[in-house]
Amino acid sequence: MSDLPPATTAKKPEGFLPIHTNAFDRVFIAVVVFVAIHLFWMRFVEQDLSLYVATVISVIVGALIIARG
Amino acid sequence: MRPQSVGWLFLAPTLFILFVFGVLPFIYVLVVGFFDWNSFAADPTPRFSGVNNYRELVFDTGYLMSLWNTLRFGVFAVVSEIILGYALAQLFMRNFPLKGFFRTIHTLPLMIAPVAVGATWRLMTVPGLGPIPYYLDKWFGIDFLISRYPQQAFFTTVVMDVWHWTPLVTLTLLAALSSMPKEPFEQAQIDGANRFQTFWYVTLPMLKPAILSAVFIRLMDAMRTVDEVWMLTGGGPGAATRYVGLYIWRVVFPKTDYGYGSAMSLITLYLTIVLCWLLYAGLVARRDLRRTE
Repeated sequence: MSDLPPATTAKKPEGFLPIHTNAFDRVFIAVVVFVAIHLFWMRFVEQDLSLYVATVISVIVGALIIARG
Repeated sequence: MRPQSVGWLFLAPTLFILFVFGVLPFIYVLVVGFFDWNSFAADPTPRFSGVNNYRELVFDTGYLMSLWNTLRFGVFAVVSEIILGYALAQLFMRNFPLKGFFRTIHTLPLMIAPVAVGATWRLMTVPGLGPIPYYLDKWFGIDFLISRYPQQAFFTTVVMDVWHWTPLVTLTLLAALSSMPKEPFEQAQIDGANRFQTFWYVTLPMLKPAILSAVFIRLMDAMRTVDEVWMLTGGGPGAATRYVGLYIWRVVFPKTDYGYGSAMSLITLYLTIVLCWLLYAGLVARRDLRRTE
């Protein structure tokens, strides 16, 4: 009989994104979201709110995706 | 010398070429996109303008319309090419007289330069000279004039692209079909699967990587098509076939607006990458997730 410990089936913690991702994927998604938010903001919101707000939101969302995605 | 260093040494020429011809131009375009630079302007020197080019771009109806037309063109062309390419690949899997001859003839469009393809289709669609308007009028009574009717011009560019690039899809799928094992098909037959079930549950899942490769390659190609369409319609009538590549070309070369052209190129690249990534995430990554559950 083997002395090896029983194989664990512990799953890696899943992020909130609906696909498996590695760090590079999450950085990529963060960049994509960063650009998308800025383009959307320039088109629809910038008349009322400065683009810097979009930058702050994008950085927060990006950090969230990289850390918890 | 350590084995790792030898590996890097062998990779060095490729990395150097990739850096010089891929990374450096990309960085250059990225930087130019933040400048106002028009050699025909009163001040032809580049001036930093922040995100103004992008700000102008999101309100540019001409650019947005060209993007929409390009997407329509891409969807129509790629879907038609995949369906037709699969049918032809299945046909070439069977034995029939002169199969080798037909396969060669079918592959010939791939070897023709896009400019020549555009010129050929131009000749074929010129009223009074080309056979297409003549026979469409004679057989169906259709007034075929791509310089007047936008829909005809649009669908002619789609058909031209399908004619040119379906052989690539056929060859890709033919290679995938040829390398498939026989056992799953025999198993499906034993289990009493009909032809549709065999196609849906056996052939299609096994073909998926090849189909996805073909879709990605053709979608990226369709998003940057210029020369064929330029030769066939010149982007007209009006802006009906002014796809995004043609639109950028008009801004960068005749109008010499390098800053704005760079911004448009980058956003087009961004959209192409996002589109392909969404397809990948929707079709492949989600399945992988399900499989592990």
